[in-house]
Amino acid sequence: MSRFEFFTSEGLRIDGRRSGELKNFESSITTTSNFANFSRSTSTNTTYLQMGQNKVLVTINGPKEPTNRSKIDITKATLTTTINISKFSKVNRNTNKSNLPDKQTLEWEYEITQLFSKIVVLETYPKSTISINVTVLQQDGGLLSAIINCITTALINNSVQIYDIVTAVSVGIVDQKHFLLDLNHLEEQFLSSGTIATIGGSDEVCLMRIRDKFPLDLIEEFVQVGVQGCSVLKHIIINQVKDMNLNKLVEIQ
Amino acid sequence: MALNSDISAPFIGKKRVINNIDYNSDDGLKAKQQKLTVTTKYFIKNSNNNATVTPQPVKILREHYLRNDIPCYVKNCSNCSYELSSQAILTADDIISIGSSEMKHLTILDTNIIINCIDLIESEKCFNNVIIPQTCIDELKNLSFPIYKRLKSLIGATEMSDSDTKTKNLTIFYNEFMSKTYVDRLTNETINDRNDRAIRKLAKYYDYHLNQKQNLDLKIVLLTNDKLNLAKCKDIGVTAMNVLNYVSSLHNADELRDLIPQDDITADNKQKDFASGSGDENIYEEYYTTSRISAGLKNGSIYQGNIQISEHNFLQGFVNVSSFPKPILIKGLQNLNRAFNSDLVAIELLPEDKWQQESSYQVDSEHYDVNENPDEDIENDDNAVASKQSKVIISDKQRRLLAQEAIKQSKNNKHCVPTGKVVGIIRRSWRQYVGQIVETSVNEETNSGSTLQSCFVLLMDVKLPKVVIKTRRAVELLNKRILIAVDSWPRDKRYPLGHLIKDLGLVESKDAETEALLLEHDVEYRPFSKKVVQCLPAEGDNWQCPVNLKEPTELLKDPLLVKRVDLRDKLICSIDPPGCVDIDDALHCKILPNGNYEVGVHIADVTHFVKPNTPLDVEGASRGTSVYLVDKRIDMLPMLLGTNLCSLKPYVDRYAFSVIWELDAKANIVNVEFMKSCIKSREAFAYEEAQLRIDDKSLNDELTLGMRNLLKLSKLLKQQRLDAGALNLASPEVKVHMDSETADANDVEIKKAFETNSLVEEFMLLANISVARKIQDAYPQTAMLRRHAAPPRTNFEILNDMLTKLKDPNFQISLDSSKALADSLDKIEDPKDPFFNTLVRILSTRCMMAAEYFPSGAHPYADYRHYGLAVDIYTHFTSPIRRYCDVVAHRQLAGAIGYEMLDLSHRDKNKMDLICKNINKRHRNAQFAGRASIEYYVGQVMKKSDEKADAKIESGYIIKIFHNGIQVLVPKFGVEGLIRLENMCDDLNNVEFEEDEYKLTFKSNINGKERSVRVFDQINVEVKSVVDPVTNKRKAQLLLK
Repeated sequence: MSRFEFFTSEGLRIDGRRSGELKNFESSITTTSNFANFSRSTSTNTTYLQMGQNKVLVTINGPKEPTNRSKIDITKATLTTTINISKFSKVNRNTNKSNLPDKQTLEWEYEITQLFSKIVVLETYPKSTISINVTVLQQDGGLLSAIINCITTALINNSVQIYDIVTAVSVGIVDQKHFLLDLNHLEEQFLSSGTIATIGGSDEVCLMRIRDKFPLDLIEEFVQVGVQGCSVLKHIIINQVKDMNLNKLVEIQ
Repeated sequence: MALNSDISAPFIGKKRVINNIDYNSDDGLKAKQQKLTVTTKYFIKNSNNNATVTPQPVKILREHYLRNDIPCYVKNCSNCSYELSSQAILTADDIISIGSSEMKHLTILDTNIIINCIDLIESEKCFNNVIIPQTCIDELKNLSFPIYKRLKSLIGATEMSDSDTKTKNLTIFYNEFMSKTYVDRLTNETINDRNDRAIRKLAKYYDYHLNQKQNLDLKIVLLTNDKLNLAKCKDIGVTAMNVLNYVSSLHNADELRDLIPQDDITADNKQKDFASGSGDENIYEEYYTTSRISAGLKNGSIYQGNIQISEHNFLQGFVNVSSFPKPILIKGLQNLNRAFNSDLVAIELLPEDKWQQESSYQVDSEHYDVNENPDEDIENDDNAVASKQSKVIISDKQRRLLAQEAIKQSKNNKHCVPTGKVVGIIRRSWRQYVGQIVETSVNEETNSGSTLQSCFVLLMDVKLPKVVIKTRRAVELLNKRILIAVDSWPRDKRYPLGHLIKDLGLVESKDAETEALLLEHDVEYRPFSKKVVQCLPAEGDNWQCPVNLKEPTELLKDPLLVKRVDLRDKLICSIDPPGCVDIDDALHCKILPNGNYEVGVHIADVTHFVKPNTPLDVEGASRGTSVYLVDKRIDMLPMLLGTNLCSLKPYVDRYAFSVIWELDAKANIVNVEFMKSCIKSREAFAYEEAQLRIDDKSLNDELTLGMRNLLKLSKLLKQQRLDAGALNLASPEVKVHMDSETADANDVEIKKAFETNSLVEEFMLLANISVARKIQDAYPQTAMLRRHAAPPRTNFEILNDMLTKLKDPNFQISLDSSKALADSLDKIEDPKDPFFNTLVRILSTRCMMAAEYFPSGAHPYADYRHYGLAVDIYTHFTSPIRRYCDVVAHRQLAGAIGYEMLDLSHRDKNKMDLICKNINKRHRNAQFAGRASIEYYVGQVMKKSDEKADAKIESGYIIKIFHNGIQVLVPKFGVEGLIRLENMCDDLNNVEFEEDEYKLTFKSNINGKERSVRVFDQINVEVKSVVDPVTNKRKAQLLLK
């Protein structure tokens, strides 16, 4: 059993936050192609997001004409996602020689594609593809939620039409009664936890992913906490996107 | 995880202020905005994640949030607001006198104070208003986890303060998370210096917060033993003291002074010693550094294991190392090198020519060097030898060769075993010990009551060395049982240093002896706390089962009631020992229309009242088991549950957990069902009553018929079990009769067994086995099971050798299977002596492994086997009132049959491991405590009979022979004792000891004739109860006749 005390009787977590406080959240856009080495394409806007110590870069390619003509859908656009988790992103450098993504990454890619196929208004871009390239520079707890949030921000920044903002947050359970929002790495390692994403800060859950052993009798409260967290996050994202674009405007003028 | 490694370079975190919105409010944007500052801390640690790759240093980054809303916990403070759960608890009304002025004060503790003086902090007489900085808690966690846990439980205790006039108010202040008290580490500053600075800053903050801002006029006292820290405190104007000065300035200083650990008193002197450079005085070799030990463990030149000091000789111990077939022998004070019994030690093998035989001398610390002066350290001959030894340098490679040699040797040679020495202590097993002051070490003349003097304390446990304590009350404490703690064992001291904690009372007074016994075996005997009692049903003794299980109002109260089965129409009865109040099992039997039997075992439904993760459950889990002493029972659960609400008393409705089988005429299981039920026991029998009722032919009512059927079936079950190879081992069990008025012990008798004993036992076994199968099936990884491993062959070597050599060459205990062992035990009979068979059974019981609890994932299925009972799977289910294992089994069974969700902690492998570890330990301790209690009372009985008549001559059996004495078992009293050679003969030089033949020849001092005794000889001994002059322990003294 771990010696860490995840939630003290005074209501403090291991990193000094209280149970419902989110991690440090920052995002920014860059238009340079400095990150071309990490992402597989050049050209477009890169969105950078930092959520705690998760550092994620997302570039969106498209909508554009697909290279492979057989993939064309005449009615709507096709969406593809690739996630590239850099080898130096964890504490222990990944010694795996092959460049193939691991199982979890593949699962995430699939889930994210499924999720955003419903969020992006694909019908506006028939006969084209939109590819989302995610690069993880540094990992902390709740990586999946950071990726989803970053993709949302990137979609906005790239002016891809979406129905609503998707926000995601991770939730963990201590001693079967305390719910912690937005886990850090340590918490995620030792607690039963999951990720929840909602649409537009409402209580419509569009993704829920639970890690290993999870008490099913607590799931209702778990979802509630997650939904609340997501709605807060939505405001933060909107504010930051506004700020970013204002700054850009100032720069241009 | 070791996270305390050094930080290679300081990192000054980039601080950013972030706005965070409290998500709980309705409108997130308008909610009060909480300012948080984020900084990053990082440290370097060795990663051990990949065992194959050499460990590399890795950098770990963690975010660290600083906040402003941490309250100060002082009651009069009006500036702080609190979260829901916490509240101001520091009353700060203790008076301290500094100089001439008296002031109310608060204390802030430094880590070194907590580690050294935890006993003092636990004491009720001081440290009532204490702030513990989070910095210290974190440091403490890495330095000493047990002390951390003790401190934590103290902090928890404050919350349920029992409304006494004085309460202990300890609180943690999270200074690391408070932006005003957080300090960055400076360049070239060590982590310790930084932590000290953080604590000073905290003291400064409190002073500012309470006195300058609010004028509460409270003295903030920082306690530390670190001289540098003290000096720096002076510079910045923080009041700081060391413990000695602090205690002296309290009003009850005289009571407390003895409780200060010795380190603190002698700390100043020691430094002088070092200055004078007297390195030659060191008696013991220095321990290796941690890095050398861990490197040695890896390359195989150093081994680690728990040291077990021999019961017969405290100068000799064994370490079980998995790579060796036999334990490694550690012999002599030098080689033991300050190890205490059951410490986790690092050992190194000695060169081959130093390997020796196990000592056949009987030495105990009680009679060893008792007349030494505790202040002096006597140089010994073997000292010189040891220092020579240590100069032989052996390379690691040679050591590995040595290890191979050792394995070979121990296979071939029986007598010479590999010998090692302790080179480091990985984990101390120090706890609080019970003992008494050695009279000869106290100087009564010089002691006027105020001067400190050193004296020896002999501990109750014979496996431990004496401890030197310094006290002003030595004369007062003579002839009393005292509780002490061990502080340290420096290299230059022959004996460890300790300090007094508590005076338990006069030797041989019943309360003192009982308390001593409970403390010694680490049994929690304090009454249940308020928090625990609050978990009991509010109705108390008037609690009743609902009359109608289907009634809607009752269903509203307890929705699970629907799933309960009404079994109140069954003819159920309970059979227990006479005078039993906690009845946890009851039985019924009915003949089914198809000729089969329906047999039900009903167990008290404790888990209906003890819900997981309540304080009641936590307390039960930590107690683990009830402890039965001769005159006292220490309950695992509060009385109300144990003897009333859960107890399956006759004539009333009770909740139960029932196992109902359908058995055929040959007692094979046709079908089994488990259910929570409601029952009504028709009668509670004692074993004897039940026996009489069954035997009485004139009674033919349904209940009696049911009991007869049960008896019939139980005999069949027993036969099945014995055929499968269940063992029938014996241990002398005695019962002490108490005088009903004076509660003094009166008489001793060997316990009697009736057929009905085995009736109950058989069905309980059957229930346990059935339940074990069910929960293992439902929870393959975490089911609570009990196993009993097959004994290793080596355990029986000596016994077998003794049997073949001394009795009959055909006598041989076979170890091929439990069946073979049972059969071979049956064959060992001495036609002249009917007790001999029992004696061998007693001795072989001692060679067996102990049964243990484990979560099913910890071993493969084949290892689930219970060797003694000869079943493939087993658990404890039938006594939830007195064992925690059964409580867990109940919950798991309830989960398995879909009654309610199983708590997460019983589905978690790690948590189950912890539970099992604890209950195994508690179970063992309870057994020892029970035995020690019986031993004490047997002594009291004999003392009485001594007064009445002259010496008793009883027959005894020799079970072990030493160079200087014989170990004798007296079956009548179930006592065992050593007869020393000095008490048997006068001429000690004219003694012949043949180890191979287990024979001792000497000239008897009774008639002057040559006499030789061998193991298994039946001899007449005089049994007397004597108080040992040194230890004040009452013992059965045996004299050869």
